[in-house]
Amino acid sequence: MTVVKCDSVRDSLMNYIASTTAVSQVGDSCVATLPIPTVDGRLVDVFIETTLGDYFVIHDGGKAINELILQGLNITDSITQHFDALARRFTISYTDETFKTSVRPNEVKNAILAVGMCSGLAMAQLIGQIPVSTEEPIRDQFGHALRGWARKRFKVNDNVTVRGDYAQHRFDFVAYPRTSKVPTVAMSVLLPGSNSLAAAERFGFKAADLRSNKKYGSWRKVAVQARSESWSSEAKALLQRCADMVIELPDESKLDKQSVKEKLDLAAA
Amino acid sequence: MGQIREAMDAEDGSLRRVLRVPGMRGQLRIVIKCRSNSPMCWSMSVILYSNRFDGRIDCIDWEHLFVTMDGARGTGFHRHIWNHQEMSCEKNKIALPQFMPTSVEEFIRQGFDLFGVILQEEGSANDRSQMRFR
Repeated sequence: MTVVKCDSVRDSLMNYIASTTAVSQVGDSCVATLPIPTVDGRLVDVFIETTLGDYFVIHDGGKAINELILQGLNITDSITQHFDALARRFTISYTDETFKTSVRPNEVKNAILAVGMCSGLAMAQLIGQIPVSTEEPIRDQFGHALRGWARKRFKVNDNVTVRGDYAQHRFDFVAYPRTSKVPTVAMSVLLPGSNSLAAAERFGFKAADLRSNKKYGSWRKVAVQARSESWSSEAKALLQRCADMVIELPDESKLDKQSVKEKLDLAAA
Repeated sequence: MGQIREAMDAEDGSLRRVLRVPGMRGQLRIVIKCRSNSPMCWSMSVILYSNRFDGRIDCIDWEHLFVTMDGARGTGFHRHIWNHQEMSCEKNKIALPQFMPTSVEEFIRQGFDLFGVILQEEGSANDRSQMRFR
């Protein structure tokens, strides 16, 4: 049995760590590259910035999440919760899609390693991932179902922009009645993204901003909740309160056209 | 460009759009992430969704330290080049020493030039910008 030469292993390891570690000033930030290989073959970058007082902000610049999204991964609420828990284990935080912490000078080295570890571990989401291609087709599929429902009763326009009291808003679809007996129905296809509550709040602002508007106040506002199983219960409850009708579309390959048509009938009643 | 910025502002600095490629069965989508003011955190990629391959096929991003496809060490912006044998663009990186955007608009314009994406402002204000490959 060959005796392991610890000294040579140590030298070789130290050389490798030294060659894959870099710390330099780039712009206003100090950037540290750590010898932590990610599952997509990168080395983890950590940014060190000074703040007022003698605190340092250490963060990964959102690069882990950027990489996941750029490779087609959909950041669901459960992934966000997982990252949140991961960050807490390393006594840092996960906010605004970024692993970060604020520390005093004597804690900087530990913080750099903690942020680097979280940023590197987050990339494990790529293992076995299948890029989500459903988002655009959901909108298209809903559009087909909507036009099938509208037929001769409504004229359907895509991407309609309206001016509210405070801001300009956009609806994915607006169905204008060909007779004046039924209301106009405006629909937004909402995707949960990484923060379904934010998506619900944006819809809520749109509905509230148009509520007292002479032209658009009478429109029925329909929230189409794409990938409904990915929405948080808080976000779902908010949508139910601010929309005239919520149509839930689960993440399935085929849209249930009959169910959509029934909901649209109720919205236009 | 104004519409792209507007859409990105509404999505916290992110954009995902389908690229029109006439006659193509699969779907190509461009993803841009520019959440912070720092160019070091800006990146964009082209993702293909098809029967044969699902995933990233082209990308521009920033790394402090990376190894180029010919074994050299690089720093800064680089492009991931598709390797048809490996069916991946993750390891084939080429440095982009001339690629030094100072604004998000510049990053998008220069990136689109490299990717061969054409931005078409079409129709009325109600229409979204259309993007397609050259």
